[in-house]
Amino acid sequence: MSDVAETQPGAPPRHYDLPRPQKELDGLEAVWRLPTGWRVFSAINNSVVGYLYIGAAFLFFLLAGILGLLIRTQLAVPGNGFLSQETYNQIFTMHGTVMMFLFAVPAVEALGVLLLPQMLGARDLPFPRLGAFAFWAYFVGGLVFFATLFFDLAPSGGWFMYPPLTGTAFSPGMGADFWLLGIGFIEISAIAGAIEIIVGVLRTRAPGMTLDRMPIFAWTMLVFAAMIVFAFPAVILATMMLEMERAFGWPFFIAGKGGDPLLWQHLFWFFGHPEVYIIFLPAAGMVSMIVPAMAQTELVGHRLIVVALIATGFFSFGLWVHHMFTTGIPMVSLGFFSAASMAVAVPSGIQMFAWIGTIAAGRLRFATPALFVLGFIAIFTIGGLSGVMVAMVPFDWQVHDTYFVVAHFHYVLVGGMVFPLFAAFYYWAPAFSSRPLSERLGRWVFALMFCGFNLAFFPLHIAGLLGMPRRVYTYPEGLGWEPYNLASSAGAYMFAAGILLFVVDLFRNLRPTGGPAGNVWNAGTLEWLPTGNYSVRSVPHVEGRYPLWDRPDLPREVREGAHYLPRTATGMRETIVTSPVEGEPQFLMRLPTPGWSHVVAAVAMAAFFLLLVAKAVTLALICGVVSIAAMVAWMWRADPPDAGPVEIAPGVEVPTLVSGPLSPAWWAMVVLTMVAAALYLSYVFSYLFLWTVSPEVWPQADRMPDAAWTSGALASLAVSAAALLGADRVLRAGGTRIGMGGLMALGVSALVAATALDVGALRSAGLAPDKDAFGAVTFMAPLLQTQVTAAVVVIALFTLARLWAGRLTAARRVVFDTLRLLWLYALGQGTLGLILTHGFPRLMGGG
Amino acid sequence: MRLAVSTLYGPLLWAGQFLLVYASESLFCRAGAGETHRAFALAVSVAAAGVLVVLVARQWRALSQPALDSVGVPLAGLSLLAIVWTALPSLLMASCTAAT
Repeated sequence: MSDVAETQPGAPPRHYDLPRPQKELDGLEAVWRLPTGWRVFSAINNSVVGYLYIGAAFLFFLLAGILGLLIRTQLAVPGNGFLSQETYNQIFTMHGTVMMFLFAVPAVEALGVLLLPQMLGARDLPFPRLGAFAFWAYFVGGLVFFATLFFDLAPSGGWFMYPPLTGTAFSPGMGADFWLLGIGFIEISAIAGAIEIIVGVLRTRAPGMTLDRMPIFAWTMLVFAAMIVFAFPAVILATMMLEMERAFGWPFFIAGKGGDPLLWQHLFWFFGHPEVYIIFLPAAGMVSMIVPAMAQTELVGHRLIVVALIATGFFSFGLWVHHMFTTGIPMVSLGFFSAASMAVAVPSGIQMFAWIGTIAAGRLRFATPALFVLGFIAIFTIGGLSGVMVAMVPFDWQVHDTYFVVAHFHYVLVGGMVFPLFAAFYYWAPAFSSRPLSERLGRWVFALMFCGFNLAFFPLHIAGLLGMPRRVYTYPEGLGWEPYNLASSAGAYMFAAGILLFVVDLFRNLRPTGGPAGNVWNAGTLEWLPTGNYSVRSVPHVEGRYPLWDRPDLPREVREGAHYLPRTATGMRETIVTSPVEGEPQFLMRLPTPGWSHVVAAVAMAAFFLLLVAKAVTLALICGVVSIAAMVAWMWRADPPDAGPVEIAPGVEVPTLVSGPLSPAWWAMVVLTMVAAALYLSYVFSYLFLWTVSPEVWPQADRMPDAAWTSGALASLAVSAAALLGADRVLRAGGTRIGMGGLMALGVSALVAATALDVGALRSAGLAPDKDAFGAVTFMAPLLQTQVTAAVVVIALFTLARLWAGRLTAARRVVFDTLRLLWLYALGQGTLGLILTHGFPRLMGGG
Repeated sequence: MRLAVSTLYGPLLWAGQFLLVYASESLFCRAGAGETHRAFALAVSVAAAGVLVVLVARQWRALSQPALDSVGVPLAGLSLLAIVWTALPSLLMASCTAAT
């Protein structure tokens, strides 16, 4: 049946002999069969979830687009009474919020879920149920959040939600709470998606696909997801703090009590600026895939583009203060951020020249995707140049909070993300639909969108330079702003007509069932291989960046099963896990099957957050418990027993059970601890920031808790650490349930006790979180510690249950390994928190 | 991990320099030592640039993994540019002066 294995390491294995037995394909189709009828919503395949994800993101794009049209209708003429001030405020807040959080980030995440497995030669991403959970959480949470508009409950403080406007004094209703809890929750879903993408890109590539051979889109998704990991926690912390201020009076942002509204701006823009690149980089990745196919030549400067992506990922974290140039920050600091803002233009320029170079090197086919790419290059370049203008502090002071900035960021975001996305729709439709989208309609869509966009937004630069401020619901006549606003509103409707025509095209031509139309563009990357529900029939060994160009016979070989894993080796859904750099096969990961547990978990978690806003605390807690129970049910089957080594290619065998750093679960937990660490570092920044602005509320050393309390809490953490290491040792030695169980119970109790001692200490010294900013930021440490401790407690109970059920052994120990990582992190965070909140005031001796 | 560091040392050094020079300004001003911030910022910048140049030179000579080194070196080049630009404000302006 199989040939003799190759002997030299790293060489591609010999192919399977053809033809393959029919039962192999039948088996594959059977395990990857989709649920039918309404049960399709229990599906977790990346193809189904990716479709739903893109559909939902596009729905939110349409909804927020309608809000944009309402805005432009209101502003078309001066003194318009079409919308009231409050309604307008709700609408422009929701337009921005929905576009950023419910359209832009989910849309690119959705394209990642849909495209990455095929592009990387995987059968699916490593945690399909987590991906499906992320989708349902986002979709349900997003719909409810959007619906607040219809009940006059929507937030109205702008998508940036600056306090003090959004504090209880000026925003007493529930709108701001919906924003804080709703968006906070949706960000959790984005982080879940990011973890899935990072582990997927690093560990489930086809054998032989080294990092250097990986498609640029996968690189951009890797950088995108890494940026989410470091950027989103800052705003999650900010939303937690503002919600604590609104609900319980912890005065983080109230200047009269030592807080500072600027802290919100720092945290928000530490997320908000990278967010622009989080949206832009994957779109640039799409362009880097489309341009070579359209020009029929390899991408010029492939490696330099990778350099540019990584550099942009880093530099974009040094830009946040350029949203705050007029807030009174010292001049030199402004200079640092101005410099970084210019530095980030360099890698963006590298990408731009690489695309232009590729177009020049090949022969561009002027099909619809190419038109959208050219539109993107034109619009984004203009947006980039006006970006360099506002990166200059003196210029920014002139145009800050005017329509110039509105024009600039629409050029960047619509040019940088929406045009590439439409290019992607037209380009990749034949890979998923039995009919491509219409070329004739596509040209009209492009023309309407391109002309409409420029008509809508170019005049706004001038309106801004003439002094028209942002965020006003109307304006008086006679200031010379009228023609620009009228033209802009006309352009907005033209743009919308283009979108409408696109929807018509979708209805007429998109046929998701019935097999893909195929490689109509003669592209060179793996997503154009013939696919079924199981992704590719067999996984090729990748030897270059454009495997389909290098080996024209590859699609036939893959379809007939000549390459890796042409069947199901264990009778379950599987994907090959490879090493992160070289792409060597390491492990055959068995994947879950359709089910409802993740849907229940997502809906219940959305209900938990939204009921909290409505102050229905008991009902919210019930939903929280249901959500956790559903997750436990989902995880119970996630770690199947060893099925022994299996053959995935002639002479190539890999194990079906691994632990520690070889397992994707371990990688996922490492990424999750990075998220937690990023959140905690944002907290440390907040603590020190508040100290620099309000040292007078920091107490003298003698008013701090007795050192005995602090020592007790630290000792408790030490006991917890010792118990954890002991439990690890007992498990390795194949020890008893009683020994393991006792040590884990002791360790978890000590971890909980440490936080209790911390709170007791603060209380004993008469400190209170609602008294001043010092109290608030000090009590935030045990609050954050409780969060991570609660996660450790739940996973520890789960681990103990598996131990009792005989599902945790010295070899089958993935659950314990992941728990150990989180536990060690919790110990580190707890120690740092105690040193900071107990030690720092003693050291500095108050203000 | 080692590979990540050998590729990303450039932007990591920039991030370290940026964090130090930015965060230290508030702390120096708060401590009433604003006039020494310029020297501190320039010293940090020169040190970061110096370490970067040494690392690039070593990597250039070694070139053990050509594919990834050819990502690390240009990345270091971009980072050097960013380090120099980040140092310029301290060279040109006094610290602890509020924007007016």
